[in-house]
Amino acid sequence: MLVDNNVIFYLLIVWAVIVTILLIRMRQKHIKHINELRGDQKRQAEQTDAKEKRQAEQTDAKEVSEKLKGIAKDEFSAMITHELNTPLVPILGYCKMLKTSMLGRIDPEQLEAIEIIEKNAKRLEALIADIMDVRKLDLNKLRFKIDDLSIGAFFSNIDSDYKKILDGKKCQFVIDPYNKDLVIKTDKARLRQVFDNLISNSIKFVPESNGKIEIGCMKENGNLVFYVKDNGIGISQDKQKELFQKFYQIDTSERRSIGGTGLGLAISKGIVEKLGGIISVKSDGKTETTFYMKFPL
Amino acid sequence: MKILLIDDNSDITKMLQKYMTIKGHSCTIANTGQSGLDLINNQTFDVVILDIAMPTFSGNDVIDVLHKSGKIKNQNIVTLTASILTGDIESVLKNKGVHSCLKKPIDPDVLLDHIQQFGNKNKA
Ligand SMILES: Nc1ncnc2c1ncn2[C@@H]1O[C@H](COP(=O)(O)OP(=O)(O)OP(=O)(O)O)[C@@H](O)[C@H]1O
Ligand SMILES: [Mg+2]
Repeated sequence: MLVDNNVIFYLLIVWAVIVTILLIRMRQKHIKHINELRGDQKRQAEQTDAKEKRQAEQTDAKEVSEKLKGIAKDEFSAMITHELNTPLVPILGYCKMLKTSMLGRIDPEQLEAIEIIEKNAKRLEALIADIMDVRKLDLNKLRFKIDDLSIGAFFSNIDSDYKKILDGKKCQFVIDPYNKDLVIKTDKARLRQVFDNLISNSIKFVPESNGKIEIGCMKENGNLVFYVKDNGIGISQDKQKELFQKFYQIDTSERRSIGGTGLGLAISKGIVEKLGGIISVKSDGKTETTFYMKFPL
Repeated sequence: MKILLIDDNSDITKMLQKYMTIKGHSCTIANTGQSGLDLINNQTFDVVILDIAMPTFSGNDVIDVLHKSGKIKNQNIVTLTASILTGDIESVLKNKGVHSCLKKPIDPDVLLDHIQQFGNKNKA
């Protein structure tokens, strides 16, 4: 066990060093690129006719500054995802191969170590994806694929995906799809992402025994309202307003031990709004929390 | 299956080559876009797995050359990208005859599952 902990510790250090080096390199590349662009634009400007020169320079300067802003935003994010995701390919790939004994038999203790490495690498993967979703929402670049969504199929998929996890936690999972035959137009994967965020939050807060999570949808004044409700610790009135901000986490002693980044709800809000809906929360501040997502039908 | 894997990251190519070989496939590696292109021009592969972001001669450059020479019509190509703007890249690539665009990090099981469809089949 000692050895396993050392291996993980070592891997984490290596990871941190790699990320730091990459970030520095990325920054340098980024600056170089911008300088190149500045150089290009300058040379171009020099070639223009003397009479037009002053005018040209003025418009160029404007264009460059616009372009630079765009590049600073787009390319830097593109580089960051690339540099952060790439090292995860061999890490996760080898985890898989080791886990499935493709590289030789492994004993239970080694398996446990590999699974811990894999779990943490996947956590990093999810975190990178979240950060990029926030970024894309900011840049208005998050893509949506609007298609027919069958309410019945949507909820039965969620049911089968969470059944095992929640049974293990002895948490009741109640699903009320309202009308299984209803078909709506939305982005299936993104709506599911919102449900995943909300359900993962609920799972964090339900009591260890007698936990209960209810999800479903209902019709209300020409709207279709999805909900995720839990019997966790509630959210006080004053915190409810700030909940949907990026990196916002409620900091109280009972919550401190629970992990997270504070991006789930900000992303959920962004997605729901882009899909034409409104997200809101209702809670008694003590024992119950319900998140609502309202879409006009 | 005869696979060609083009990626500048040698840790990735080494891992995937090992994986594919154990699973019973032949997997040739190219660590630059240019050497990958040379291999495609001289041999036929059931599928080419191509990384997009490579220095000097990128996956996009490889595709452009194959697109211009018309060779892309009889070569199955699956691209990999770790970048944020996947959506934009994907549509451009598909227009040029690329079969699909997968996101890194990718589970080798998922990748193999995906390329299984090209086994012993020529491009339609
Ligand atoms: N169902 C809930 N019951 C009680 N508190 C909640 C509930 N859902 C969210 N919260 C509180 O709201 C805060 C923000 O939630 P959010 O999902 O945005 O972030 P997170 O879960 O901490 O991190 P992430 O989702 O990025 O992993 C959390 O820190 C949590 O304290
Ligand atoms: Mg969350």
